[in-house]
Amino acid sequence: MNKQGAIIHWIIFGVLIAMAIFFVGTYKETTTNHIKGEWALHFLMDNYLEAEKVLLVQESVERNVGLEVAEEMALNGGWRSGEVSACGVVENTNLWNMREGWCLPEVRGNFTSRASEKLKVRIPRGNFSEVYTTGKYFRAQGEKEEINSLLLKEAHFPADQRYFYDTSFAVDLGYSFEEYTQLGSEVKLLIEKCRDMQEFMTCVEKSLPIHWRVGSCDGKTEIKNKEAGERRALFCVQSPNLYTLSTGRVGERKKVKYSLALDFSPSKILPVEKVSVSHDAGLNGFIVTFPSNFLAEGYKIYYTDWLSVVGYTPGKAIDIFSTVPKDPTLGFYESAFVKKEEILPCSDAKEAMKAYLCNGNIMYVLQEGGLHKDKPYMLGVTAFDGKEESILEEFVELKY
Amino acid sequence: MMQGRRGMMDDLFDFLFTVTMAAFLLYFVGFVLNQSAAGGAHASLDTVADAKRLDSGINNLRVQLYNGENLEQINVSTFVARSKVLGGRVVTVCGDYLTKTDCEKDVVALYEADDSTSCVWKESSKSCYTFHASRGGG
Repeated sequence: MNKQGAIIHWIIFGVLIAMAIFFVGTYKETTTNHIKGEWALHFLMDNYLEAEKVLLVQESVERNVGLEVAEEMALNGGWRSGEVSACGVVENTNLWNMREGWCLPEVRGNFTSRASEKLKVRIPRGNFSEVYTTGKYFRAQGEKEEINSLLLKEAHFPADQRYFYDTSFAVDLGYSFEEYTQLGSEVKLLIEKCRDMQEFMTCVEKSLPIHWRVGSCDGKTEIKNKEAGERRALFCVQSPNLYTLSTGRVGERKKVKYSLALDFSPSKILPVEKVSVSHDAGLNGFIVTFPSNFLAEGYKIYYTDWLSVVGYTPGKAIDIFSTVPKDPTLGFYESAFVKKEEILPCSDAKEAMKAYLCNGNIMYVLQEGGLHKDKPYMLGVTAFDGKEESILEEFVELKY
Repeated sequence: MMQGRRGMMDDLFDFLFTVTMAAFLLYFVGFVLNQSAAGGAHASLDTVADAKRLDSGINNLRVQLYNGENLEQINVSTFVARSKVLGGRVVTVCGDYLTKTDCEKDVVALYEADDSTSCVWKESSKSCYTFHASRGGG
């Protein structure tokens, strides 16, 4: 072998030894299974999917908040829990009207404020604005959140991975607050139809839409203050669109029920009905009995010997008695006025020309002086609310 | 003359030796690099499959949410992490089982460690539900 050939052999062995040293030195690095697309996969697992999990939990909270507020408002007549209608409450149930005034709930504003409050507590990190509902959706504008993850330095990639996601949401509640508009229309129709009826509950029961029920939603209370002559009633209304709310369990939903109270105070003073008269020899007079009228400031009791007045009822007293002749020898009429504040509590010992309140009825003692036993007389009663006098509905005969 | 011939033979052997060694060397280098690349690809595919499993797990829970389930009280990360693939489908909760047998046997052992919870099949709806003994159902 010449010198030149020996050099070539040594060079080859030298290269082999060098490569062996290289592979031994870099063995770990060469044989480690580096994940292809490690940066992207790390980003996907530790940023994107993490954000998706956060958004999923938040969506569940947002849905629960929407459903809870919807139910709370329905059971509180459209107000937030603990909030009271400007028209007042009956048995902790908000009134939607009072006399001539309406206090329909400002549903969207109430929902926004209550839902915002709950979101702040349940998702403290979230800073939501423009919280509102449209149709069946509960929406809010959220801020952009950031997930910051660290990729291990051995990967030779930039260590910091940042993912920004939007926390704004629109959650389908399966329920629309538009229902309150429909309920408002139904309430107005009911009030208009029944408020001026003496027996307003009979009218209400006949006129109630099918999804309405008289009484509270817990089934305990029905009409309130009926004995005091007040004309207010509680109602439990089922969702007219048969909306149901999720209970938090798959396949289980509960019906939406609205609890509200209505005031059926008449728009004008109602006539006095069911007047009865009995003679009381001991008192030397007649006891005139009629139901107390909640709005009346006083009562006017008319009696006359001009019997043709009967044909003019029902009508205004002034018109009816204008038919009585001016000549007292032909006919006369008299009246007595009883003010509300002059009405005495019920008593067995009654005095003439005094009125008593007994079991919701007014009992007035009419003195018979000047009346002849053998002559027929007619008696009628009207109520007076300070501004106007009710019509005179009917006459009853004074009988000994 | 003889010496010149011998020198030529030496050069020929040197050449053949160099070619052989170079070929072995390249095979070796190629093998090492190939193994490394194949291992990396395999690891990547595993990670992608895992990401898909987790993503499907999240979507399965989202379906449960739309069906009325309350996810506020549960640990979503735990549910997602324990999702398992069954016949190409990812099963995260009982509702993801499609057959009565899979449901009643809880074949991917979703609630293996939880004695109070199991999967029950409802014939009326042909669906699998999670039964919580403590909540009396649902």
